[in-house]
Amino acid sequence: MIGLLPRRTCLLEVLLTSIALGLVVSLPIDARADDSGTQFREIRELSFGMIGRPANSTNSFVVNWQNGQVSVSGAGDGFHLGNATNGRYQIRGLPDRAITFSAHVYNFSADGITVDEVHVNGPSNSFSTTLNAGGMLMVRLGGVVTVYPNATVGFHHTDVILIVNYE
Amino acid sequence: MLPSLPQIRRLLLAALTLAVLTFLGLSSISAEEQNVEGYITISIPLDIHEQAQIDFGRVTRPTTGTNTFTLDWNNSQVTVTGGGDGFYVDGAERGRYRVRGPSGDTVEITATIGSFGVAGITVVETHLNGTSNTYTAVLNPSGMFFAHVGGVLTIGPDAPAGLHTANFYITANYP
Repeated sequence: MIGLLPRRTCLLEVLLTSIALGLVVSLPIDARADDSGTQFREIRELSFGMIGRPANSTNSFVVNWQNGQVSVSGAGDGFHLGNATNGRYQIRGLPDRAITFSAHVYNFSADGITVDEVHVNGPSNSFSTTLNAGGMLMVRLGGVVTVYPNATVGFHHTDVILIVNYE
Repeated sequence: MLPSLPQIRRLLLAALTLAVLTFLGLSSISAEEQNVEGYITISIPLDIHEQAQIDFGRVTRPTTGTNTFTLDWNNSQVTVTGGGDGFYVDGAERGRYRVRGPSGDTVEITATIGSFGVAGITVVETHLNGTSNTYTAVLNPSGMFFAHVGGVLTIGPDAPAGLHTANFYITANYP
């Protein structure tokens, strides 16, 4: 009996080590599978809409992150002509999981337009929250652009980078 | 029957390793980056320039009945109809307005002749490049469109003599 004890202990160690290795190998993979790109869905694109550029001075156009409404400020005589939408994106993952979401909107590759601010679910370009009990989160995106008299006429697009950190 | 101290240590170590690895596995942080697009359309504001005011010219009011004076939007000619004995004298000119914006853009133009504010003169219709007071135009390769305006008045015997003016409104918008 005494001679068998080390063997049992050894088997137990092997068993525990195997379980541990199994967890090392399997748990992160499972977790990352839940956070994969397939869980991100774009519902609506961010669009600053159609803007009549100012003849002089500048105007800032704010797309409200919550409802897509546009407000205009600045000394210029530019105006907004409609068709603006806030961006809407759906994140799915593990229920109640803590995340940090951030966004960056690059400048348009056109003269006379600058992207000043990005707003994600609030007046900042990042926010932290938890996915709901169903593992979902709706992200809304707005921002601020300034348009100058030399803004290039036409349709322009830019890259929007959205980063989800699962904690 | 009991394991030795080194064996217990190994067991505890294995359990601790398991716990640590499990914790690390469960608390792993991962990040996901998505690249989507944002859009904007820049347009040149529309501009309206008056080249000639609309003018119905000189008319003689009827002594009885009423007359209708139609100013042709296309050629500034005035035609008179109705049961009165009024008549057109001279000086009529259609209104001409240049609308400018991005070439090829579609714009909706609306014109309205306001009231002269006196008895005996009634604005019946405003004509913009046709017999309606609205027109949908496509700006030419130079980014321009020329709006021509005429209209219809009725004049009765009670129209006061003299020069009378009315406001004229013209707007251009992107549809």
